[in-house]
Amino acid sequence: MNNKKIISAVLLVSDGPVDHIYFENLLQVNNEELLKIIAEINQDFTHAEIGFYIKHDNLKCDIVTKSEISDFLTEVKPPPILRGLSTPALETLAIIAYEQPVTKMKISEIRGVESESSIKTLESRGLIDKAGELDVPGNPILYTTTELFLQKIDLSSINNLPTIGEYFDSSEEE
Amino acid sequence: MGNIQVIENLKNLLVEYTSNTETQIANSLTMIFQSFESKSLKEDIDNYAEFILLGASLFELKAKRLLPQDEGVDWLDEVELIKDKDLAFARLLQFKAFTEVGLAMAIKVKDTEKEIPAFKYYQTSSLSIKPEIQYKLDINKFNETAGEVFSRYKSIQGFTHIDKDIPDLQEAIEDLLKIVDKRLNTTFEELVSSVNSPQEAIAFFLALLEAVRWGFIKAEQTNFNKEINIEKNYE
Repeated sequence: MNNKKIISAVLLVSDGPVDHIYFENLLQVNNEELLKIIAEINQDFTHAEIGFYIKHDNLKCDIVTKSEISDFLTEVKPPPILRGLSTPALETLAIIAYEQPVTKMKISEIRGVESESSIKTLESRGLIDKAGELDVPGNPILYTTTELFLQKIDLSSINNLPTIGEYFDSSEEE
Repeated sequence: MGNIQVIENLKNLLVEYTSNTETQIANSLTMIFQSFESKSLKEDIDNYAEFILLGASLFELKAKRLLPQDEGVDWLDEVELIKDKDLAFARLLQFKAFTEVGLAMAIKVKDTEKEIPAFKYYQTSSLSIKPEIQYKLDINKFNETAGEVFSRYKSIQGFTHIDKDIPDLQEAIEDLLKIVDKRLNTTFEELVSSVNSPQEAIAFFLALLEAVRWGFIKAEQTNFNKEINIEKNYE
């Protein structure tokens, strides 16, 4: 069976990006061969003037539309994940991204205001999630960003976030 | 006059600061700000920030010189003050940084969303636009809905008191005044020792606040874990 057919079909029906390791096991190929096949599929798409391609990083891949046609997809694409989000919610998201796992109290301490509603909004959008409790009296809930957040910000890992906080590390205050 | 001149003026100011002539300091500050206003420093964010920092430091120096100099200041107090200022400044910077990062993230996400993944179920479950709900309400329907809501709340923990009568605050005030009249002085704890429900205790507390506000009684609590002493106000 043609590996290009299998990869493109799996990506079409999969519920989210597919790990390279999945294809490597499925098709009995190594990572180098897999990336070569993906590159070939993308070349085929380009030659056929197809409006999508396989986007990949070091760990996973997915079929996505090409950015140059985004203006023509406005009516049919899903609503933007940040639609209607306020600046305070974005601040909260940035704090959780950089300070995670982090408690609501720590977030409020950094922002200087209550952050309950921002956290709820971000949680309802699937950008953050509860990730256990802190082992202190009261057991406050810890929040982290989600896989969806990484996809939306186009990073493979939270460790790849650009450094801003080496002088801001206040984990001892927790 | 360019940036070099501004720095030169700042240097002069520092020299003159040591010369202890307030007029010279004032003149130099004026010169610095004039040179800043007239030149292109505003367009250079690095120099602008540096200038503001230097200017602020000099103003602080000058302000300190205007304070009484005779009183000795404990250096440990000074250090504590600096630590507090440092922490406050760090927090402000941290907050500002996260605000900027949040906005930058929004731009990045917007950019990433130009490439839309193939249709996936998880997107529809969390991102689909919810249908607009239109609901017409008249007085009968409102009664019906309210009844339903109250009947549901009764089954929820914390709402079991919903049907109970609300204690009369006026009555509680009168009761409170009668007791205080009889005993002349008492404590809040004694007052509520005979009540039957938390609602009555709350009514007594509100009555106490009202009676104090009107000047009928005096109430004092020396510490948050001590009793509230109540006595008749004879004034």
